[in-house]
Amino acid sequence: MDPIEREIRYESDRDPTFADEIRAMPGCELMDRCIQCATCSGICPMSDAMELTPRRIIELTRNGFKNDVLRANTIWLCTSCYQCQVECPKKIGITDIMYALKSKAIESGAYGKKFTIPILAREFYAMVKANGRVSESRLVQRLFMKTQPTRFLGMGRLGMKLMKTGRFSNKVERMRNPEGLRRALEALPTDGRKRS
Amino acid sequence: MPEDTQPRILAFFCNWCTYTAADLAGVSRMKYAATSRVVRVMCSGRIDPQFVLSAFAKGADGVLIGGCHPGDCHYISGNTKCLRRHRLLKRMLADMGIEPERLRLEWISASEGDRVKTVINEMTADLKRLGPLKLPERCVAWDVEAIDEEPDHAEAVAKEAVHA
Amino acid sequence: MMTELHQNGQEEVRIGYFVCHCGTNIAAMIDVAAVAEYVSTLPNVVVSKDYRYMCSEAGQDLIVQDIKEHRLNRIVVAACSPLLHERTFRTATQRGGINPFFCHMVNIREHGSWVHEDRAEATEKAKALARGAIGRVKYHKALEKRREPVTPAALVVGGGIAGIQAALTLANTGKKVYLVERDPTIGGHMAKFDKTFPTLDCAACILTPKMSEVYAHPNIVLWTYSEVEGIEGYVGNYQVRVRRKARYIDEELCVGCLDCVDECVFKVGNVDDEFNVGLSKRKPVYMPFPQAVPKLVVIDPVACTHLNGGNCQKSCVDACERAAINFDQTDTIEEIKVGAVIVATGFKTFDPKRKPLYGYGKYPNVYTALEVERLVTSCGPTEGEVVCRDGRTPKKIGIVHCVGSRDHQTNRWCSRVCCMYSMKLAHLLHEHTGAEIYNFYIDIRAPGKGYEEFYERLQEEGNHFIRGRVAEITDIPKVAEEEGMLTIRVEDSLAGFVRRIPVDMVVLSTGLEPHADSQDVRRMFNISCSREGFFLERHPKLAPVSTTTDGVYLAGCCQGPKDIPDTVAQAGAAAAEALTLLDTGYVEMEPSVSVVDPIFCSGCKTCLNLCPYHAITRDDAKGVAVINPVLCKGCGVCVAACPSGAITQNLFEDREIFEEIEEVLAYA
Repeated sequence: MDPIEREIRYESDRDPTFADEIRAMPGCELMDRCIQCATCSGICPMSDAMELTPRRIIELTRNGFKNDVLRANTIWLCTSCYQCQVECPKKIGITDIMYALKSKAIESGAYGKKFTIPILAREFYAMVKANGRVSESRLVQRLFMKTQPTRFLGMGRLGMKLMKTGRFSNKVERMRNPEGLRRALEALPTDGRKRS
Repeated sequence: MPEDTQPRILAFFCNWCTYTAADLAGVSRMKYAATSRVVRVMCSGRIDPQFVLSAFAKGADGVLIGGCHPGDCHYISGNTKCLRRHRLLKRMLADMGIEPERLRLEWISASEGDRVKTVINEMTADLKRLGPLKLPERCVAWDVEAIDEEPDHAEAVAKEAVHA
Repeated sequence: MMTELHQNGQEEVRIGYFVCHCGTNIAAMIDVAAVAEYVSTLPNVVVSKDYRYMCSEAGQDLIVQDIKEHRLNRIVVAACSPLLHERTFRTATQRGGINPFFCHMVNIREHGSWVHEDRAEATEKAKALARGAIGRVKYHKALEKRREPVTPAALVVGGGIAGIQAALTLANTGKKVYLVERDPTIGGHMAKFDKTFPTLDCAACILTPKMSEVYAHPNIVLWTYSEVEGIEGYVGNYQVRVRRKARYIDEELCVGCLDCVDECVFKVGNVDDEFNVGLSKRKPVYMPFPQAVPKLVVIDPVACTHLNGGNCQKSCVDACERAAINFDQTDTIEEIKVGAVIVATGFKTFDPKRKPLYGYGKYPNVYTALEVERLVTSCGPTEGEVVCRDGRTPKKIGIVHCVGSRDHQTNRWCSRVCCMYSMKLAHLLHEHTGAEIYNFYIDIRAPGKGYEEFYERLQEEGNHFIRGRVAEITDIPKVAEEEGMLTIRVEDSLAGFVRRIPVDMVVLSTGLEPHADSQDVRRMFNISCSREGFFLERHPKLAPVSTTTDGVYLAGCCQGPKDIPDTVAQAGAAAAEALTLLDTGYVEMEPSVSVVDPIFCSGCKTCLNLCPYHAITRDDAKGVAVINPVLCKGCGVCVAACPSGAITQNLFEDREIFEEIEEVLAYA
């Protein structure tokens, strides 16, 4: 017979420093006001695909249940449409909290190695930092190589067709002075966080 | 200003609005700096500019006047009179070398207990930055400057004062 | 002039200083013993004590005894706010045998121990304030409160249930009451309800007897279709100007037979019927509702063809057998004198157009709760048949709670009655249609007597309660069952997933808010509003029906959202407070009025125009200004303006304030 799994949370499962770190980030102070009304989940276009709805994320975050929050796919499915933040009756910066959580998740590496969205975020940023611009086709290539390399190779035919119709180019787009941008980005404060 | 010296604010609060708001701040246990000394008047229109000057002369570093919002005065228009006097008084004080942040006029209604807290804390911080006013000592210093510039005249005036 | 300072022929000022512990409220943050010790070193201080509870009988007796034993002629009490206990300590001072105005209070609780966190700083501040008071009090003079007679009549503004209850209570004690109501009939919002929670009493059945009682009462002057235009005077002696709008109907002649309405040239109504919240139309000549009190018709000058200069055959005039229609009628102004005013102007409902995602006004089958009240009531526009605007009988109904309430974007407060009325409407709608009802809520607030039981009953009747605030209502279907329906997307937070629920009809439980003109009204009566815009009571717990303006009281939802039992209770309370004023027969005026000293007055007339109460006149014979103590309210504006310093305000004299300033700052 399969063992019956029990789930109960003890106070030792909470990480209050995690909660306070999120609170300290700009826009996130107000999450203590949340009355769990579920407007955010109701209006969020992606909430039915999320493992934990935005409302649950807020409740788990402010109680310090770090693992639940950072392992859920919620923060990566957030499209930053800002509907939740606009409609929230307590004017809580829910999208800001999602961003703060994304940042924390990247810091602690709390997602699968081949999870698409953070990899996309990393590659995007790296390309912008190097060139000041994103070269779409090259970005998509790098994304596929890092997440689903075999599938990528299987898309060779599609690639040829796109090249013929001019939809696909390996040209590197670059801004005039990428060095200046890089210096500006380097000058940003890190607050002790790992710089990607 | 050394860290342990707190500035002193003499506050004139009108009974109906600001004094009540300060009471509300107390009932709500809001915490703010202990720098203010409140003199209660029935209306901000009662405040004679001489009160403000006297306060500075006797050692206040800042003066705060609290009245009802325009249009809401319990006595219809007392706060308007206060506003007019305040405008002129500020210019006079500037002529005397007293910084404008030292005299502050605030409209605080009876339900705005948190405003009292905010204003007193802000004013305390401003006055700490500006340093103590020490008006009596400054007057003596001005006298000394006058002596340096026109020693003969100063001596004559002093002699006259002694014999008068 | 030293003799003014003294009493009983004594030459010296002898001050008694009492500092209160207030249990630990003051003593926990302020070293009261040290303050008393310090004060004992100040000049003129004969007695300096600390005591646990100065406002208690024992504390007051301490003052009384010490006055007698130590021949004190000034008292300073350092304790809570004078707004709380000034009267208490002045009375104790008087019992001790000296004039009560020799007593001064220092606020070291609300302005001291409760708001500071550093014990040393708080104690230093208490010492400084004490020194200021000691300096000030020696200049206090003996003053007498003046008595003014009170007009034994009251004005009640607003004829809803609050105004009606207050008027009846007062009138039953024999007092004359003027009840002024802006609408053509009394009854307010309650007249529009079908049933009331939680007993499901018929609203009209319990209200109309009271309305009739008002009409028939010999002590109540009922002025409907009238508004208060202006009010002057002071507590016990108000002069009020009331505008009685023209009905174009002779009130003495009309018997409410409605023949004129039948015969009106407009065969069907062309104006949104206010009583039916726009669900039906009325004619320019109309009676607001069949049980209107007074039972008179009224002609709307905006809609009536004749009154707009058009060519009308005036069939209404022909129809009236009593010749009661008079198009030459004009507004009249009445001037009345009253001693007390009760403001019972009620509320308005939140406009759901401010929440566009709910689709009110866009989708025809989205209703407000008040509209649904009119739908379910048997004397409403559909005679109790619940039929949607598009003609369908709803089989599924969604009730959306908290529309406009508990929301920083619109109104931050909870409107208190919506959970209960939503459940009531759920019950009534189910009763009328057999429909499946969904309630979408954040919390269920059912605090009153029988309220929780009502909630349980609703649950047992099979109503769905889904805990999730409705984010959006859409008519775009995603699945087959949503075709032609309004779909509510919500996260069922208790079940833990997102749901889409199609319904035929949506009911928006809109919140309560202050009237649009509440700022104008409150300025007229010289009262304040709280941050939300409801009229402000004098003290939220201890004085919920009076205001900081003596003689003006509050009743009902104009002071804050509440249900009918609380409204009736508050109306009774306001009437009782007004009654203490009217029954006493006189009011004691604070003596802090201003006085002109003719010796110093140069007759410059600077003060004359500054007084908002026109209390200052010029005696041309003597060439000096004279202040009428009856009209003077003691604001002190003239005192500050007088170039000669000729005006003195009792209790707030220049020398008292200067001394207070100097002494409070003299403490290092």
